[in-house]
Amino acid sequence: MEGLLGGFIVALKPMNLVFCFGGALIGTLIGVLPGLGPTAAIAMLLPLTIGLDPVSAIIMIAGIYYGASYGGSTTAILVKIPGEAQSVVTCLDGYKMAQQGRAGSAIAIAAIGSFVAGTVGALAIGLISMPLVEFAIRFGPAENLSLLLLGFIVILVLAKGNVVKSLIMIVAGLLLAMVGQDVITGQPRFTFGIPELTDGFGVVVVAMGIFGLGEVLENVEKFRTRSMQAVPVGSLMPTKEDWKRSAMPIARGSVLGFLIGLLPGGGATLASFISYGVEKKFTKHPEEFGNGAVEGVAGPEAANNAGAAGSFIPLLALGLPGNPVTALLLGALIVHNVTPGPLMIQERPEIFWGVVASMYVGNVMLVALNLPLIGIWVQLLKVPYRALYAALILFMIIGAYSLNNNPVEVLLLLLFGVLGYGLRKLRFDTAPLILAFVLGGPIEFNLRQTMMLARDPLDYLMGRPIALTILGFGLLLIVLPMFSKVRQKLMVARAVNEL
Amino acid sequence: MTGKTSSLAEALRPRLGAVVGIICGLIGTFASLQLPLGTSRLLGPGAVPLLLSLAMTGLSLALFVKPGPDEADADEEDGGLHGAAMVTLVVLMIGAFALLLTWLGFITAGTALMYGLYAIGEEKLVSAKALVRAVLTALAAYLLFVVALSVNMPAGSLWGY
Repeated sequence: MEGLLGGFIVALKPMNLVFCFGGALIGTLIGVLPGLGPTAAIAMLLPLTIGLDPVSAIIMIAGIYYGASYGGSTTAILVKIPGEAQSVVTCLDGYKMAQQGRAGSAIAIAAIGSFVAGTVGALAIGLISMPLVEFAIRFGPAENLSLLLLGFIVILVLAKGNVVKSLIMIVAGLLLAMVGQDVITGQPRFTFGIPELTDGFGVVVVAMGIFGLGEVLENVEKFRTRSMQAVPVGSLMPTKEDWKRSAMPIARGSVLGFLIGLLPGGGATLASFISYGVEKKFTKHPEEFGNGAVEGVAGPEAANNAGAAGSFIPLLALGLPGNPVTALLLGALIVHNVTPGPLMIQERPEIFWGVVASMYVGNVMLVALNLPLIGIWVQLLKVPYRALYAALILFMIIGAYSLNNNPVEVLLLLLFGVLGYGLRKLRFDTAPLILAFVLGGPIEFNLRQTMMLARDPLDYLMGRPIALTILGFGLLLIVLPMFSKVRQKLMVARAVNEL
Repeated sequence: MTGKTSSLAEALRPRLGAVVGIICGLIGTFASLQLPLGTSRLLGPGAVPLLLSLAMTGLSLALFVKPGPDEADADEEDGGLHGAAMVTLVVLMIGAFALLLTWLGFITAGTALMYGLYAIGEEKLVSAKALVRAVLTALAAYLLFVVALSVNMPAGSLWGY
């Protein structure tokens, strides 16, 4: 708890408060735009933090994240367009509540649920991180490699739709990470004689292109087909009945979301979906689900916030991002010469605890400042997208150019924007690509170090029980679903035979 | 006719991705083979990229042969030819901006880009409203980024800077 108190001292410094507030405000502004969620918001705004010191930059990014998540929920409730996957569930009952004249209540419950979950999350990070770091400090290249591979296995197991497509995205991300100098010998690879590629692709340009510009281009395509009609907000004060029915879903969502967030590949989206399912089971009014049940907003909104907090633990304590947002944060930390992992808490405690405390401060700001500003966000929703997108593009272009004061960065942004748009059109999920891109360097480095250390790889692995356990767990994750599918097929065959 | 075209597009969509993947995999394999591969204990710079490129080719081939189910939450909305044309125009404009930025300078190139983007939004070639908005947006961006945040945007070699 001492560390957490120290973190609050850092987060509450006036300049950091300004950055946290600025991040939350700009994040909400971007997040409230339909079709743009936290990942796109962070990707677009990353260049804004380049000139800041690492602590302030990360605090601002955390603010952007929470602000964009909050903005995404508002849009999900008022216009039924989720900013990102984590707000999809909120659309189901939130929009129905809005249609029934209870939009204000839904927004308030979502904000309060997020605040409670953020508080629980910040405290839990403080409690769990230190023991985890003490354990992880013993990790060598083999353990790091196993952990990174486990992350990919979980992403694949949880992948929606086509697994081959997700695998292709992972390989594509890893290949993109290979562009530039070799991590060990420094030899240029895949540069094709282009000097600008010698340093490889920057995470900011790749993320801003694939998530930011790619999404904007996709929205440009739908200018004609997309119509938006915001529902009036009404009173922001939830009724007594709403409070009563939301209390337990918020508590359950906070705990469940945090635990899911700890898993590699987990995080806000999975947490919100599972919470919705759980609340549907626990409720006394199952018939109201999908028709404006407040539990369907309270639980998932708390869960996605707690999930987001939980997913910071593998990132900060182990250097392992579990989802695109934390992958972007990892990229941002690297840009600021900070390497997340077990040593970060010892070497840069102000960053670790500052970020944890700022998550809490950011949540307080969102509730205290953004709820009264709801009228402004609703006004923003009334501005047609075709009038806003030009400013978003200019913002990204300036961000990309300012990275190296080179127009080539703008061309790379465009290249990755077109790639992101194309991948969306071809129905590829871009999340595994960005994760693999960020983790590509560490994976190759740890693999090559492990191979150097091991005379006989199998023998070497046998002497590394932690790595072996992690890999065994990964293998179980692959085998168990297969086993269950075979069992299902056998049962079906038996039933057919009996008939 | 439209139904037939759209079902053909749906059938081609996963295979198009696979073909792109195969091409990328083959280029990657060729480029990796130009690098030292090293030994099993001391992997060279080309070893991991070669493995990945081969994996990319193999996986893309698998996708080509058996496209399988699509993403569960795939966006069904499509802008059609009109939407594709809008996207192409926006892409061309950003590309032109990047190429002309150093020569024209930020204010001129930025105003031209903004005018183009606003005009696309309004679906009009000539629009006074788009011009006013473009000038205001470019000026606001200049004041915010160049003046207030000291971002070093080019002033334009055409104007002697």
